[in-house]
Amino acid sequence: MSGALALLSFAAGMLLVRLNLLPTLVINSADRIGFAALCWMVFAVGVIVGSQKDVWHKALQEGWRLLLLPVGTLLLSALTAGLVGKLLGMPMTVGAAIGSACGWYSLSGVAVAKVWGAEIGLVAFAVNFLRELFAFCLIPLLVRFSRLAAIALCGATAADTTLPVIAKSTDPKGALVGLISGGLITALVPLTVALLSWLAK
Amino acid sequence: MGWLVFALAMGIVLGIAVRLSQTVMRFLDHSLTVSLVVMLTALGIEVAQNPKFEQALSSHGLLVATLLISVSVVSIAWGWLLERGWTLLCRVR
Repeated sequence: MSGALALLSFAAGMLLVRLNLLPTLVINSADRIGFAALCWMVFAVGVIVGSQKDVWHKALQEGWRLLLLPVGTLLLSALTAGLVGKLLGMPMTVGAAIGSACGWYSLSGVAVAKVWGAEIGLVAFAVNFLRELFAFCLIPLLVRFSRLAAIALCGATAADTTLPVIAKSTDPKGALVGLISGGLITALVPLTVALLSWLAK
Repeated sequence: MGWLVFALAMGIVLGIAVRLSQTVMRFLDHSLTVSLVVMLTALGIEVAQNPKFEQALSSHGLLVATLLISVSVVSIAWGWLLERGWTLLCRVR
C-alpha cells in the first residue's frame, strides 16, 4: 500500500461527492462503511500479530523505548505546537492543546472548541486530520529509514486507523510497537487536553 | 472505540489459538489493502460533506500549515533519534 494509493482513495471519495456520482444511500452510510472496513482491518492485524509467536517477546525487547516513544511524541508535539502557536500570536496553552491531540481530530475539534471557541476548534480539527492524512501518505516512505519515526508521526492513530498501514509497511513487530505506542497516546490525550484547558482558565 | 478493541482482541485470540494456513494469511494481507482503500474513500466522502474542514483551511490556512508541519517534523525527528540513538548505543556497548 503506497502513500499515493492512500491519497488517491481519499481524493476519489471527495471527488465522487463533488461530482454527484454517488447515490444518497452510499453518502449517508459512508461513516458506517468506513468504520466496518476499519474494524475488519484491525481484526486482520490482530490475527497477523497473534499468529507470530515470538513477536511479543521481540516487541518487549524494545524496552524503555516502548514508553519513551509515545510519551516523547505527546510531549514534544504539545511543546512544539505551543511554541509555534505563541510565535503566531495565540496563547501557548491553545497551541499545546492542538498539538497534544496527536492526530485524534474528532476529540481535539470538540474539546478545543468547548474551551477556546469554534474557530480554534476548526484549526485543531484541520491540523489533526491532516496529520492523519500525512501519516497515511508518508508511512511507506518513512519506514525505509526509521520505523519509529513513522509510528511517532501517526501519534494516537497508530492504535487504530494507521495501524493497518504500519502493519503492511513493516512487520508484525512493527505493528505491535505501533499498537502499544498509539494505545498509550490515546489514553494520555484526553488527560493532556483536560490539563491544558484547566491551565488556560 | 469499543468495537475496535473487540475486533483487535478477537483477532489476536484467533491468531494465537488457531494455526491459520498461508492462504488465509495471504488473504488477510490482501484484504488490508482493499479495506484501506474503502476506508479512505469513505473518509473522503465524509470530509467532502463536512464544511468544517474547508472553512478551517480557507480562514486559517497559514496557521494550520505551520502547526501541522512543525508537529510532524518534530515527531518524525523524535522517532528517528530514538531509533538511531539506540543503535549507536548498542554499537558503543
